[in-house]
Amino acid sequence: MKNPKTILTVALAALAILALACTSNTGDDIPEIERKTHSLNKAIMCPVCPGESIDQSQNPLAVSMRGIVAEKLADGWTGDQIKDFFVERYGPSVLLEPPREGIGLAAWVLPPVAVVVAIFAVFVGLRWMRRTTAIPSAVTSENTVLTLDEQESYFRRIEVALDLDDTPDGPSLPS
Amino acid sequence: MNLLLQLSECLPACVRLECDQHPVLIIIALVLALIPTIAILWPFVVGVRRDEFAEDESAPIADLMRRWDAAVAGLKSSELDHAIGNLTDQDYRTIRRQLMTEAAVVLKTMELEEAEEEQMLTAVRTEMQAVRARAVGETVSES
Amino acid sequence: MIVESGQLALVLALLATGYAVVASVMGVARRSPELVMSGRYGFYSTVILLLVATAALVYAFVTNDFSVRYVAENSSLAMPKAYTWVALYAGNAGSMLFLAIIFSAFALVAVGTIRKRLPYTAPYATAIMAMVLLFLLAVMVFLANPLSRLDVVPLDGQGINPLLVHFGMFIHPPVQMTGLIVVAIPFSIAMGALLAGKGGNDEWVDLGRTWGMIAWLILTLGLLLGSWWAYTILGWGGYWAWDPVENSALMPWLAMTAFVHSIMVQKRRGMFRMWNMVIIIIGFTLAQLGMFINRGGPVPSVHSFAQSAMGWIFLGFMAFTLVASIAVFVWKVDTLKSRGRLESMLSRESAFLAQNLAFLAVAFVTLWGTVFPIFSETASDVTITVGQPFFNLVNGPLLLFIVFLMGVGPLLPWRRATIGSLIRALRIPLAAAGVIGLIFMIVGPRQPVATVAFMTCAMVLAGIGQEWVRGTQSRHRKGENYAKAFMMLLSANRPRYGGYVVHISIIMLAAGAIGSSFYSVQRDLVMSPGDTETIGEYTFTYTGTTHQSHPDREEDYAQFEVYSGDTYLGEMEPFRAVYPDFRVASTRGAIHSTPIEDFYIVPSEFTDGGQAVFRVLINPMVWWMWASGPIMILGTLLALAPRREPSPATLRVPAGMRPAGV
Repeated sequence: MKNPKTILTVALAALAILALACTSNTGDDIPEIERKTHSLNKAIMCPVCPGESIDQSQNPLAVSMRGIVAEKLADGWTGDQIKDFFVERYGPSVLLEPPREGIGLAAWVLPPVAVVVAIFAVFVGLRWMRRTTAIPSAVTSENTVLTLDEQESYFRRIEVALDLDDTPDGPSLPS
Repeated sequence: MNLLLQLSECLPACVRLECDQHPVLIIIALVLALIPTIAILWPFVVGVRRDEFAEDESAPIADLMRRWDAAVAGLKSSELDHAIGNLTDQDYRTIRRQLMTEAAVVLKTMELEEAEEEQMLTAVRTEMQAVRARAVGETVSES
Repeated sequence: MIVESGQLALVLALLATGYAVVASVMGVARRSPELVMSGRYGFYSTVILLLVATAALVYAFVTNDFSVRYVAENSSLAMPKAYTWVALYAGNAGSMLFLAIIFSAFALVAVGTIRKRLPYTAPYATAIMAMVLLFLLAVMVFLANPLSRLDVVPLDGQGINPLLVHFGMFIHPPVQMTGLIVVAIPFSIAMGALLAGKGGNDEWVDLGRTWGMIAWLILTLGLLLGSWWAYTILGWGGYWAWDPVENSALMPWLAMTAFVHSIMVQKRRGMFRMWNMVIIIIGFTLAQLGMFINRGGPVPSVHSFAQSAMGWIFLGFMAFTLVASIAVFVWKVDTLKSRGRLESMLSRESAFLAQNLAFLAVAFVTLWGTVFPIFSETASDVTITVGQPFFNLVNGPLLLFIVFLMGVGPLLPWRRATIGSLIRALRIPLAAAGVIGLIFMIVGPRQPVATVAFMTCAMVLAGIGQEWVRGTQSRHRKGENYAKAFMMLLSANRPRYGGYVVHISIIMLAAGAIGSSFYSVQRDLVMSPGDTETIGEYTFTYTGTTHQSHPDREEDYAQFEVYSGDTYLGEMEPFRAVYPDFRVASTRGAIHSTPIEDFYIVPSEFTDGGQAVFRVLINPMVWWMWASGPIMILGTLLALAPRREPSPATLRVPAGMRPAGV
């Protein structure tokens, strides 16, 4: 049977080629304006469909809004101008992304704060766990003392029963 | 109460049904009611086979078994991690000594308890033999 | 009459469940085995009674009994009988009955597994499970009875929502709902142990872990099936939109993923006792939140076909269980001190803690985004929508970090690790990541985020492969041949290697998500019959439309002849159906799927003269997302498979032979 290392290398190479094959369909032939239309459509919500973007929804209003977006892009409007256009008509809730100002700012600020808190919590938690002494269980090493002989015999029995390797120094030796 | 209202809501439906279905519905109702009733009364009538509360899940022996399992799992996983190369020799030695000591302590405690039990049993047996011997001796001396 | 029997069965089930709660608690408080058993048997009997009620409802559907309100609202004479199954849970009252019967069946098995091993915990756990069932039954009996009659019997029913008429609807909602309610089982076991004062004895952990993993697996399958259904039927070419209902199913999954990992620390080291209680409480609360949002919460969603004001009752029950859980936790917190100590800041234990907090961070962000519209409205009278762009931007990096942890964690041993050994272990995985990154940068299209994501996936896969290869080699050195060594390695370390298999499936899922998110190609084309277009290597010709009339819908099928390069792939037939009664249009995309990519055509609109607008998509690697499902199941089963370790009894030496002094 082949060396496992070879198999691993071949497998990884195959995966790399697969990933490349999948993603090489660049679609470079798509006109820039279509790309912009799609990304805008995905940022604007259909006002009458609950929670769907105009890109997703099949509703006639969504379809006509897609048409407006395409028209205005062809006329040379920028993405932001088109978004403002819809906000004027339907309110800020027509945008799928909260604005980075006003109350919308709260939406963006809280997640990074939460991440910082989480990182902090990990370190504090770890430090706390290192310091807390464990509760002694009913039977601890204090009231069950092992003599050297006992250690040797018990260790041997356990090693044999579990079929353990020797340690780097040889079989388990009592300290 | 709401429950009674709900039940009484059911009744008009029963009343609306044809008269000859009435008795059938009552029979069905009785049969259905029997299911939870029998289930609930079963332990009181038939009795339980063993007292569930006799064995406490957190008895010392259970605690020892869990510690044993954890020590064994730790020994095997640290052996594997060392063989794979994730654990340094020094760390492996330390962990292994810790876990072997833990496993040995658990084993010794179990054997101590077993030895105590056996001692008690032997003592009881000796006592009983003595009692029987005395009884026989008395009978012999009587006869 | 059968319907009345069903109603009666529901009332009896309510009474029996109420008794089960009281009897279990009193029985364990008084140490009376008869009372505890009586409560347990009462709980078991509800399964039979619920079966009767369900049978009554099925009977009503099959006989087209439109005097039953639920039947009239969810079926019609034209509905094929097979869809009775879907109609059972399509509406509010029916889905409650479905939840009740499924939960009672799972709970029956669960109680059976815990009562022998955990005699003091089981009665409390039974009481908690019975309380959940009691809630469902009470809502059914008093508020939303699936078997209640109408005063005026209509001649025909309203019929079933056409969006539900798809194979995916036969499995996604039941699996999803089952997943959410089964979270109550590990919750009950954990809380039961806490109430019994056994929180500090880790006896409950084995069964808590098993049931936690079962709940996790069902939730994962529910999410996968939902995404697959959205992809194949909703016709916009995507599978996840961060919709409020989707998010509400994701959040408990995140908490349960954290739980199934951190519970292993308690099993091995007796640590994280308090933390695990907190996590399972969060998990169950989020599951209930999921059930609430699903039932018509205050946030608008595509899933709003099950709208009702009853959602608020679920919220009330969630608040009740949350407050009660916190109260019990605070009351018994002294029993939850750790047995083990953290020996090193760098160890598997600390990796698990970091992973847990990362998952909670994602859950928090998801929750925040989902409820933000309500918050913004109350705080400032402006309703702000939070959609895909927000979630992708914020959750994306967090999820990528979690994938990264998935690559580092398994390389960290328990108890202690050194930076040196970690770096040594990471050499090959990082090299693999570097190679992938280099290839993509040189050859592929420039998508830096996607490249980093793929590099991370490569790192994880290489790390898992390394563990397998080196593990097999270590056994091989002891004398086993490679095949046997591999099998024995898996068998002797089931939780570890089962976990690796699950991680592989997660990478498959991640790869599919990355490929289709960053590299998909979308075009909207206007085509007349006879037109041919080319996208990528696909050439497709629109040959025409056929129209089919049905009693409840009008269907337009568009035919396409599709070539990939010079190879003829076949005919593809996407269609669009309009249901005039429901004023709903449903589209079905035609998908040609390979592991490399999906070629996807869906009609947007048909204009007169046969001209139509089509959306054509090339979605790379989506196949891997669905393929990950079976692998995940296999991995979970391997991780759950029990194995008997050598018990101390086998090490016993007869008393006469023990060394002196013992």
